[in-house]
Amino acid sequence: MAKIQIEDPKTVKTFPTKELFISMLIKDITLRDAIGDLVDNCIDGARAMNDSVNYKGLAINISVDKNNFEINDNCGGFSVETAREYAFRFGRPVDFKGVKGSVGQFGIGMKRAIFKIGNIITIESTTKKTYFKLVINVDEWRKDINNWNFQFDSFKEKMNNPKSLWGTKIQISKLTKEAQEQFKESKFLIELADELSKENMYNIHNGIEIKLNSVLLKSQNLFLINNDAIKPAYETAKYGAVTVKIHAGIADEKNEKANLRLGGWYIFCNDRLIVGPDQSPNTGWAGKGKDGVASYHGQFSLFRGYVFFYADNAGLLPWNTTKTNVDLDSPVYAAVRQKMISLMRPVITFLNKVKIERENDNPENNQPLNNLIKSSKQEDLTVIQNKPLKSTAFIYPILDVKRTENMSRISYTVHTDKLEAAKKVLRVKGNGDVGLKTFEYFYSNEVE
Amino acid sequence: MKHAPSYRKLNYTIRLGKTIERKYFLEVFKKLNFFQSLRDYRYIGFGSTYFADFILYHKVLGFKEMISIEREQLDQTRFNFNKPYSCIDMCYGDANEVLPGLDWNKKTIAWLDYDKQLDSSKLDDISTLVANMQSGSFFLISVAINSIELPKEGDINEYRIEKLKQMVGYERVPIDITGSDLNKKNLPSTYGKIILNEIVSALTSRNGPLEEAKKIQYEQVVNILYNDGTQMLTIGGVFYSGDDQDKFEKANFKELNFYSNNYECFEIIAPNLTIKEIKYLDALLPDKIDKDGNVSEEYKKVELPNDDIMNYAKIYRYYPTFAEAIV
Repeated sequence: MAKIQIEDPKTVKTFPTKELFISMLIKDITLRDAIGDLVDNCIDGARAMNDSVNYKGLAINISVDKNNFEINDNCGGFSVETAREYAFRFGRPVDFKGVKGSVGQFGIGMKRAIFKIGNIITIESTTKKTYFKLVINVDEWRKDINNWNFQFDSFKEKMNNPKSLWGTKIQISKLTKEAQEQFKESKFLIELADELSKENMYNIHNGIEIKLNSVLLKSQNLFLINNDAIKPAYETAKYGAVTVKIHAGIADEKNEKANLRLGGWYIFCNDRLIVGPDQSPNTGWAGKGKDGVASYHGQFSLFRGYVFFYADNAGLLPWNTTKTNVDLDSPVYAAVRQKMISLMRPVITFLNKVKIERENDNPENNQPLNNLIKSSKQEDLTVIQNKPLKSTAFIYPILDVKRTENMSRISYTVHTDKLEAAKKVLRVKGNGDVGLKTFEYFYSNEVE
Repeated sequence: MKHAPSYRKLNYTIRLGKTIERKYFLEVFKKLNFFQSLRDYRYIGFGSTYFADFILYHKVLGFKEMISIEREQLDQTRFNFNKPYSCIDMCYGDANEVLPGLDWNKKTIAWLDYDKQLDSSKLDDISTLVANMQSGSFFLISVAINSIELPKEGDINEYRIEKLKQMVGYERVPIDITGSDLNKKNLPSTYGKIILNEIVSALTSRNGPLEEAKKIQYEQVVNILYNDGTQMLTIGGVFYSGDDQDKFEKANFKELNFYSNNYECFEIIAPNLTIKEIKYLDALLPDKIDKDGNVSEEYKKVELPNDDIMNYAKIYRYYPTFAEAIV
């Protein structure tokens, strides 16, 4: 080809390829995360509609089957201008002013999500003043390596649309192979419902309705025991434009089977759940001899920690681009993790004491901490958050230690004749006395 | 009793090295006056049943808020009985359990005066302090130096490194540590390294997102070694923010004669001298004895070993006189 001649031989090419976006970046996310990303865009629309986080009357509908995917919302839509200049760019231009407190940030979520799901994508969006329709045929688009632009099928500006029409609809057909496979499985739908309702528990709590194949998703609530005897730790901090709130305490035992699965830390960025429950070193469960507490296991299953990061500029939040984990290299997260560890240590101490109480056949009426937990009711975190909160370490009752705490029980079987003979020599009547006396005899002669 | 707590084995008040060290710290703490009136500092220590440090610091420095952490929870009545002043709060439990639950919004002097070896839980306590202490706070940790046992068979060096890793945690042993860093002579400075690394790494996490003026610095001031039967190492230093840099400069910790901001230990060696010899040396100190322990001929009344004289000169202002007395 002739154009090679005009290139400066000193130039080293770095221009990205379309394949990077169509086939590479999608490997970093699951289909569930991709759909989660599209929901995040709807939430950002809702957030842009009014300053408060009151989402009453707003709804997101997702329908999924083996041939088609659709997501539509009445969350304000995005304008022709936004679509033309920003929304479909790969990566955010520096001058882009996003939605305050948004959950979309990287300028990669929507594109990566639609490429992950399918090949023919139709996007329609109506705002107060504009309407557009855009159809993307990915297979066609990838053929021309030089032209990266999409074309509107139609668009109108300077309209005056009623509020009832504002919103966005994305339909995807000619699904990718993995989407075809997974969308027909009920297991996928169950997991998707679970993930979306967890990720958006605060948004649902604030009034938005999310439906998956017409089924309304319920918010999963967060709880902590909060009374005079057991009080969760609370701390808040500000790092530049990032605010963080941390709660750490325990849940009650109602959900005994589920507790092992539910115990750990939950981390939110602008009300979007990023990870949780997390039971890994990332949140301080580092294991003995490392920078944190013991590894997570059964005796800590009542532990609940909740961390909320907020920033108007979502780029400052410590999450990765797939919003599936915290960014461990973020200085803000490293400082907060240190605080989380400080706050969780007393909870871990308490749970250790609770476990010790149950050991060595200690009768139930001699387990004050366990009985206290049994009689404590947990409170919804949103209720706790609506009360005035003061910084505090985890509070739990300090009980007088009884002499039995360091005691262990031993039992063994011996021949009856020998036992009776020993009783005579020791001049005792009970079997237990023989055990105790013989142990004391051995200890004072051989150990001390 | 093999596993008796150390306060039942030793009367803390008559440990010579410890007594001298405790008095050294009076001078360190007085420098904190540059940050805030010393009386308003909170003191956290392990008072045991003797409360020797609590008594000295309350009397001399006037601390009004003092916390004694006590892990031997079964003897609570005995500790409460021995508490010398009402301003001392007893907190029962391991330091590991107690420290994270304290309110850290005040300038604090914390002396984690352990009687056992360095291990991972003690390093966790350091992290807790580093994560939470306010600018102008001072931290001290004392640990026993017991040489790491020799293997029954096999390579000494590999064996000792493995033992150290098990004690302090696999991720806390610096990659450049070799077996010879773990012999009795070098162990104190190896501990010093591990302790400093722990402080630096906790500070890095804490400081990361803070603006320069709020970032907390650590300056080691104390690295003392003595032997009262067991070899003991004490390491400590001051935390200060960029905002308090000038206060730190004014405090001038460097002028302390036992100041050490590196891995080299300042050793307290209390020579065995008679009272008559002590009086004789006192009369010549500080300026009639040179730095090598030589007494000029005109003053010489008795032949004493030079290193005894040197060692005494290092500690004479803090040297205790134990006498039998009815109190």
